[in-house]
Amino acid sequence: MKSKRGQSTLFISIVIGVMLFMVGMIAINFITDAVDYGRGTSGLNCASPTTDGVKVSCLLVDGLVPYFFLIVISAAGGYFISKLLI
Amino acid sequence: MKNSQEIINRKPIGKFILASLILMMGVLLINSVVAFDFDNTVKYSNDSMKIDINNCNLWVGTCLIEGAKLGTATLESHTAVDVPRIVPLSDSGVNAVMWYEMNFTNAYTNGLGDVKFTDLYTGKPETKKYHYVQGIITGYETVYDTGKCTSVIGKNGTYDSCEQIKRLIPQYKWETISGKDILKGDNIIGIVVDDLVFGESFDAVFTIAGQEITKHAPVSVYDAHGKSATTDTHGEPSKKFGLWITPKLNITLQEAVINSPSFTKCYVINSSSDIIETETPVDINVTLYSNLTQNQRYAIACNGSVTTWKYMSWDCDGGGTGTNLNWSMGYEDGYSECSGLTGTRPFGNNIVGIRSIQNQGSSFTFTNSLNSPVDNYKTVTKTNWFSTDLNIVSGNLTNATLQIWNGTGALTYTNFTTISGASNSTNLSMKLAVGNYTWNYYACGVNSSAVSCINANASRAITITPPVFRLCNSTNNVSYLNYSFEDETTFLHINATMIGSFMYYDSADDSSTAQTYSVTSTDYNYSYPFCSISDSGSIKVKSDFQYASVGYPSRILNPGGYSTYTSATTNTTLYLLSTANGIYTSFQVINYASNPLQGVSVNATENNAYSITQSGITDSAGIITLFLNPIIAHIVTAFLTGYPISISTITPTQTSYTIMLGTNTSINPGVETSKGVYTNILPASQYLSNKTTYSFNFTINSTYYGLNKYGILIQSNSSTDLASSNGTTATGGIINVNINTGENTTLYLTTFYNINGTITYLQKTYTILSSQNSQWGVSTLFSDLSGYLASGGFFGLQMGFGMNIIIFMIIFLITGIVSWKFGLYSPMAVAGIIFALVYIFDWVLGLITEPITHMTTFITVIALAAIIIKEVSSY
Repeated sequence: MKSKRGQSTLFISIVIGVMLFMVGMIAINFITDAVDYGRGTSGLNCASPTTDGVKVSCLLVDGLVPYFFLIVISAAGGYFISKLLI
Repeated sequence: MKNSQEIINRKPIGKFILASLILMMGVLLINSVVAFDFDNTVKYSNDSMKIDINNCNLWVGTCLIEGAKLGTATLESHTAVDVPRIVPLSDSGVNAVMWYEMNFTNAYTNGLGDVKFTDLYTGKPETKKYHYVQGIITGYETVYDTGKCTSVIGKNGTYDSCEQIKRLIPQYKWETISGKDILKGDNIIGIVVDDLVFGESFDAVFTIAGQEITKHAPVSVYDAHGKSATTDTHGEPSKKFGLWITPKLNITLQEAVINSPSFTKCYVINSSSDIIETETPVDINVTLYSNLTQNQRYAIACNGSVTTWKYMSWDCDGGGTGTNLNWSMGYEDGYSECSGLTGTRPFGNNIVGIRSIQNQGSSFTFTNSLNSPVDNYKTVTKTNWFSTDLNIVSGNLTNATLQIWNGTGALTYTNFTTISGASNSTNLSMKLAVGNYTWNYYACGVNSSAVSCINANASRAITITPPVFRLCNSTNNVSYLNYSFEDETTFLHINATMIGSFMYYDSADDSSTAQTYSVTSTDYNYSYPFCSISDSGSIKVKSDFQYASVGYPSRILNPGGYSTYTSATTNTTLYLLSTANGIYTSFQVINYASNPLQGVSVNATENNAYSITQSGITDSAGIITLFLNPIIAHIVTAFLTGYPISISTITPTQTSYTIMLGTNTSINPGVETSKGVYTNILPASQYLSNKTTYSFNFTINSTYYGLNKYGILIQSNSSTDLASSNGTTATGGIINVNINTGENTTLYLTTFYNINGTITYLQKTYTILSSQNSQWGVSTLFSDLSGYLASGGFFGLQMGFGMNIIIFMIIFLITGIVSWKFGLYSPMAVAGIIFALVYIFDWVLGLITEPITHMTTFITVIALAAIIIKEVSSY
């Protein structure tokens, strides 16, 4: 009974991990649009920044998508691994 | 017990939560993974003529979050969405009645849905047989719209003079589309209705990417000949027709009727002699836009010759402003109707109803008499002056244009000048090529109210003949070149024979126009003078002949190139060496591989004050034989394109000498692919970026064999040739082509070289990496960082010492944290972590500023290697 419970917990953790990953990948579409707008001429205009503050803001915006991707990977993978190690 | 109870209570709740999550995920996933049409959005713009179709990222009943643009569609067939397009019945099954210009980012499968038709008279849906077609542009129709109008005061009152605005309407060939996919990019997509009915009027609503384009786009059908299905003799169209576009009448002015080569103005005049429209003809066409009153008589007048007005008249029968149009032309041939809304109707020879119209202004006399040169003038001179005498009475001259037509009747040269006064002797020049021409002057003058332009009554002919180069005679008597002969040792004059040929052409032309003149003189002549006619200018001549005398072996004069001669005579003395004083000496020219070289230009010049030169071209054996004086040192030069010139001093006491032409060592050697053949191909990396222009370079150097040909060919992944280039230098060279990788995924580079018919191929494949969607990657972050640091930095942080300190701190901290966290305390582990971080910051990201590129990385890898060796050896 104990092994069956462990297997079901493992299966649920896989499903939840995959779900978290998929939700993250869907949400990333909204972030990419925001990043494009932010970097474009209507936003910060990162191709030709005018002030140092704009440059730093552009660097932060550039790192948004990779950072978000890392969060999603960490959350999904972390949840799965934590359940795996229990 | 309690735990068991808790477990029992938790089970159903856990399953419920899990099921809900899976269901919610399913709904969200379906929307993102499966591209349904129903959620696409449509936006109208440009007075609803253009639609933007977008995807939907989140749809719950309606689109909550709009996604990326799928494409656009612009209605091109109609002038407005609510103005019907009127089509002839003959378009049924042939031409599209309605079409869009679609531009989709990617191909859209089954993007073309059903077209819904609505009968405009009943308002009910109807079924029509149709099929989708794609439009291929075959040309453009020139259409003139009426532009700005200004009031002009004429002799008979005020009338409007309107400018014509030229538009180009694309003409399409329609090809049936199989399937309902919308292709990527720009496409003209329309529908051909196979069952058009005369007089019907319907709406056609397209379905594009699952969305109905519900704005109206009506179509009305008429008969091509403007006649209704009834037997109305006037051809009055059925009242079932929708809105007619305002018709315009396009008239072609026939020279046979008008008897004048050109017109500047045409007028529409009513029965009261009022000018109601003024138009400017274009060539022999004039388009009239007037809305004329029914049952009224009108005339058209165009200015022909200076004193005569030519005119036509017709009746407007059954017409009405903007609602109906039917013209009956005054033909005696019985045809009483126009050919439709915008037909071209040439005037026939039988015209009735002609009315006499007053001229707009008083007439004036204008004469244009060509002066010189005379008709059928022949000359070799390219630049000639053309003159004419112009006189005008009761007016002023304004300008004159010299017009010259070539032998095919095409106007080839013009020269314009402004003139004034009542009389002028206009004299303009023009440089012509060899050939036959006719010329005339087109002069213009004005009086108080009219402009008139005329040519002279008859054009004149002029012929430009090619230059002449002959032995002098009574006709060709201007001396250009004179050859005489002397003994090389005694410098006494000798009579000699001459056999050979001369190629010559006018210096202003190119060598492709060269002619040949042969001389075969077996008589021993004192000299050979060559002449041309008086006005030949400068002539380029290439000589190739042999000359000889009794007791003197023949010599050849063949310098190989053209020399320029003018009427200032060039006297050239050719020297002969007596048999007793000279020997035949052969020079063989070879390359480094001991292969004979053909076509080498060899000169042997006596190294003394007289510098007598013998020259020739080597044959296929690489040999040229010259008769030289063996007691005089000669400077022997040998030259062939692709080889450095060979200069040596030889006293020709032997009968043969060998000259070796060296290799060109300026090319950097590459990989040896055949004996003595070194090649190098750039770019070296097999990975290239998309949408980037690269310089593809093929370097080949042959030190042993002579190359016949070598080249480079670049093809795309669809086997399309993108660029190619060849070279023929025997020792090799460098071939360079620039190619933009565009959207290609692979490029195939093929190089080859040919050595005596044996062709060797070298191939290289380049993989093109796409940068699509990389704008959100980490690379963008670091490229922006490098860019900002290089362009002034921010908040005082720039590339250099400041950045290096920050990177050092980062490496220090990361190394410390990693080694503490994971217990990596050994020197080898710490050195490895440091090397990895230095490599990333220096080699990959390029953020470390150092005097020698990648110096830091090399130092750390050497330190790491030393530590590893020390650690290993300590065991």
